[in-house]
Amino acid sequence: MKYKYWLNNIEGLGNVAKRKIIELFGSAEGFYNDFERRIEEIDFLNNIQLENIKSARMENLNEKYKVFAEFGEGMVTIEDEEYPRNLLNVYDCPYGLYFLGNLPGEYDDMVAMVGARTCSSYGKLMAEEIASELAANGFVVVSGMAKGIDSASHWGCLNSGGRTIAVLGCGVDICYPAVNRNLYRRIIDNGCVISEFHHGSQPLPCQFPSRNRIISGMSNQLVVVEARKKSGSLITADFALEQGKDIYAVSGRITDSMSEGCNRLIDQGANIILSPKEFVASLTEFDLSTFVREKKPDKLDENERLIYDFIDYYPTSLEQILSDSQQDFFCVLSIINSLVDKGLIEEVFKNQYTKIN
Amino acid sequence: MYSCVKTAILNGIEAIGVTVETDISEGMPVFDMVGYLSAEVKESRERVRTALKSKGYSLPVKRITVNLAPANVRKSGTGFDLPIAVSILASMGIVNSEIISEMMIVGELSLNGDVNGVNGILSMVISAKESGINICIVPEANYYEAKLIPDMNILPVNELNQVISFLENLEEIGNANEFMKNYDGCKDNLIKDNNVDGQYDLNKDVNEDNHDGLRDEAYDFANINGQKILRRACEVAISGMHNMLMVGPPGAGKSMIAKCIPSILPDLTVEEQIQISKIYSACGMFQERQGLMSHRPFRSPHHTISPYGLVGGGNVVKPGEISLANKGVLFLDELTEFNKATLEILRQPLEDKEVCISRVSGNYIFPADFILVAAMNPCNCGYYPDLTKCHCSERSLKNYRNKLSQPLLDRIDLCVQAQTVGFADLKRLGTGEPSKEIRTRVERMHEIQRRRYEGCDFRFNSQIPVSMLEKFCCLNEIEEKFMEQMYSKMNLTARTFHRVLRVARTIADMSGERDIKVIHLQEALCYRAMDKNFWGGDT
Repeated sequence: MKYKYWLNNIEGLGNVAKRKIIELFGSAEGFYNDFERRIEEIDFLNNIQLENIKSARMENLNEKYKVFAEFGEGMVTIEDEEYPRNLLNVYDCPYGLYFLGNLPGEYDDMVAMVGARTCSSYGKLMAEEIASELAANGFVVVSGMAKGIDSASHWGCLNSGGRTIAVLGCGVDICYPAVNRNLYRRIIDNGCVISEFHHGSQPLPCQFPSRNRIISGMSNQLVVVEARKKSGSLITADFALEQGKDIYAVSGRITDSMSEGCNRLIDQGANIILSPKEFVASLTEFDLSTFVREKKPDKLDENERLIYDFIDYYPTSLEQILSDSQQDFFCVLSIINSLVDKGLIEEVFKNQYTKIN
Repeated sequence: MYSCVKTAILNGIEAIGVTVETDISEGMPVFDMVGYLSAEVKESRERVRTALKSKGYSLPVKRITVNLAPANVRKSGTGFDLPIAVSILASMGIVNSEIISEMMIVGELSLNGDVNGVNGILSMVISAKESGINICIVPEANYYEAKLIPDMNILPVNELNQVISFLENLEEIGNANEFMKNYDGCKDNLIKDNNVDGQYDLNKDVNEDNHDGLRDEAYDFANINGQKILRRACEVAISGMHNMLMVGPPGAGKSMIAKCIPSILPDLTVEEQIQISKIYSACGMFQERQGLMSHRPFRSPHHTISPYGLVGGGNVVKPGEISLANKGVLFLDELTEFNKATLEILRQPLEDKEVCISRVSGNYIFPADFILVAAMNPCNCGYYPDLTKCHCSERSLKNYRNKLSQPLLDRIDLCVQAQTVGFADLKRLGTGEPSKEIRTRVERMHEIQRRRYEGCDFRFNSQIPVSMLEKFCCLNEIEEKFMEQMYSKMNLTARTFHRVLRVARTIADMSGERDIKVIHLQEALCYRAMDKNFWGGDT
């Protein structure tokens, strides 16, 4: 293990180079021992890289590995059986991955879910429903633990008792964003957090695209829930396309800039998700053509129904509801209050309401 | 020869009496001034010398000593020129030194002997009256201001010779009241005097003029279209004198509505008018007003205002915007653009209704009983939570939210969202309820509160102390249960809960109910303070 850790830590050595080394030498240990002897065989490294390797060999690898072992992080490399199989198909897959928690098994089906950090309540709802449907059918949800859609996906999965994997753009010891502390802990207990970055690496913006390639690389399918025209989620979609994964997008209204990226993906040939159930059914190859949306608010009286229909999945202001419904102010207020009470709507901003269900 | 003249100096908004003593004696020809003088008072020496010279009185070649007592009070301001000049003239034997010791003289001199106006005349005249003086010589520019105080003989002057001839005439007649009668008669053409009957100048015609001038036609609620909730919130706020915060995208009409608020403010009582007038007089903002400040002030400082500009302060301590907005409205547009430290200063005055400024020169207490009306955008770009328009990052939202502290938000009773006006509403221009009708209702509300809180040391629903809430905002069983549910559901704190009760009290008053009903609580809850979670604090 210490040799693997040593190889993973050599500076200036790319993932492709490391992979070639393993192909040539068989293992990190072999590389460490036979490096001097077989140096002539290495034709894919330049002099600087060779120098780096030489100086790295001078260091005390036992001591360095001891420090790492104390972090309590797991490490898995492309030499290991536990390394996510799918990821090996990515040509520049990371040589080593650090993780906290339990790695997925060989036969686990993984679905990646990505989307905008600032999402609408519609996006959040969809992410949660799809994730929980996936979890219920034994899929593992892979996402990035960012705010918004990512978090909603993780939570949706966890709340249905599923396992989920968060791929981070920083060291696995760092919870980024910090507000997801609770989620971070839950994921470690019910799945794992994974990162190719060393212990203590800060979340730098340049590291996120390479994280995205792992998200898509680990999984068989990619679901884009909500994405603007220029969104990080589309980078993930590009990786997925490169890696030959199936892309699914949750469609939105064409006037809605939050869904512009998704709609564009669909235009370019991504699969459309008509409902969480149908989507998951298509993955499990069960036919479920007559799907009806189950949750429907019931037990609403006429007036409540009227007001409820004026409220959208996007923030609707009280003023708007008032002028649309042409009802008395007090009357509208008490209806809204009872709708909030029933958990059908939520005040997301001052005097602005959205449907939740 | 020794002589003394009484004058006054502004200390905060109150005036304190100062005696100007002059002694002319044999010795080296110098003109010395002592008594803890600030620069502008020291310069007074040159003005006095030149003004006297230009009126034909040259200073004697003797040792002239002027003392301003009490010597431990820092003398600032420009009102000392005239009293010093008169005092020197008395020492020179040109005017009667006995007469001038019984009057207050204030005024600034220009080099040619003209008398210019000074700030804070109102407070000075009041202090003169309190110390038993009933004759005041004031610059003509301040005449209107000074004559607002009843039972005072005010002599307006615009040049030094006038003072001398007044004093000569006065000496002949001997009796000030007698003299004033004649004097008023002859001055009638110059200035219309309303002060003869010894009453406060509340001439109705004058007041009406003021009203219409300030209650601008353009800013009338009749011109506000749609915005039902915002209109309603304004009425609730003014009825119970609650603080209000408007949140909404640019162009929603927040500033427009705020500018309409003066049109629904009820009239002031005489005591309130005097208090406001004193503040404005001290700040030199009285101008040519022909009566007390008859309308409630509406102050709208720019967001670059400094902490001292807002609460008062400075080298010579002056009231700030919050005191200028006393008994009226302080409107802070773009609340989040204000310096955070500046805003936090508002916390104490909002609770105490006055502000105490402590400086080396002393402590000053300024009244600051105002309604805070503030307007802000929900985020940097102004469109949150409309994600189709808002492109603010999580971080920028967080920074934006942190510009306001929760304690300050908690002190604002009503918080309401402003919505951009739809076209349908726009077309119906000028069909809204006019301000006059709203004002009538507001006045009735104030009357109800005045009667209810008779004998208490507060006047409005917004000021009910926590100990009295039980008495005035008593909830019945159903309402109690409702609030219990809402308390945990809406994450209320004790403070916000009390605010909701006070607002609910006002709403109940407005619908003419004795008891607070669930419907009133619901509306009050709809106006409750901004929740920090609104800016994406969840997950």
